[in-house]
Amino acid sequence: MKRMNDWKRRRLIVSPEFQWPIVLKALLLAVLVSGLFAWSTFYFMWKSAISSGNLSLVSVLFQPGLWIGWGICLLGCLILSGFFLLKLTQRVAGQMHRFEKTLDQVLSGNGGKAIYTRKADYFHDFEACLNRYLNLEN
Amino acid sequence: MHYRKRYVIHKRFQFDFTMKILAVVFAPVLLCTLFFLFYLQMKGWMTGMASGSLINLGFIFSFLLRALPVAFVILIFSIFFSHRIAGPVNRMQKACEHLAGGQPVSRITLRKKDYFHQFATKLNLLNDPAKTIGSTL
Repeated sequence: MKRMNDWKRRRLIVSPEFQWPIVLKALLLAVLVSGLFAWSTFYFMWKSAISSGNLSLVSVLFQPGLWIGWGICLLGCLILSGFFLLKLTQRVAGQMHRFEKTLDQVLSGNGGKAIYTRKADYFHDFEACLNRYLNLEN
Repeated sequence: MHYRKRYVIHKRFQFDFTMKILAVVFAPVLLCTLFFLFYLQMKGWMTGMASGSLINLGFIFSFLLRALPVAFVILIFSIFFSHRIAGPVNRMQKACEHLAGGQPVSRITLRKKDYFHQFATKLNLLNDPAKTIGSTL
């Protein structure tokens, strides 16, 4: 008898080899772009403080509190972004995992059952196609 | 050899993917920049050195000027990246359409950097008369 877990996608990480590279690359990009913008904002503020003769603002720019707070803010954003990216990739990986399971059943000669994926999943055309093939096989 | 020249294959998926990657990259940028400005403003008020708001028109303009090229680069990156997902799916969908129509299907060959190679291997096995999963896995 098939367990319910084989059909439901409750795990956030369905296919680590597919999901992690995407998540890590996007997070690396987020870190790089955040760093670039922090540097350019720092430069913009420093330049305007120098040109206006506001030297105490320059000293604030070098305070550790500013950069520690910025780091904490970035870290919090990255954690949330990572979770969001895992959800995004799960929508693809979960669906493909479901298709692959059905193909395994067909290949092992058990005959695959019709595939139903989530409404928010992407590749419904592919799903319909596979179902047509399964109907033909069964 | 199989060539995929179009970069937008599955519009809905690729548009959604691209927008979400843009959001994921720009959300930390926006929040960190706001924190940066908020911190400076607070310190400025505390020490009495800030003569006006740090978020002025000049800053917003310079921020947008920096954001637009970066957004464009991320857009290109996301389209290339989503193409590695949508391309194989499109190729396998076409193969599956042929299978469902009882037509012969040529062997699916994916690019080295594409995803779902294992899935393609299994789909290729459906064309194999032996249809044994143990023979390749």
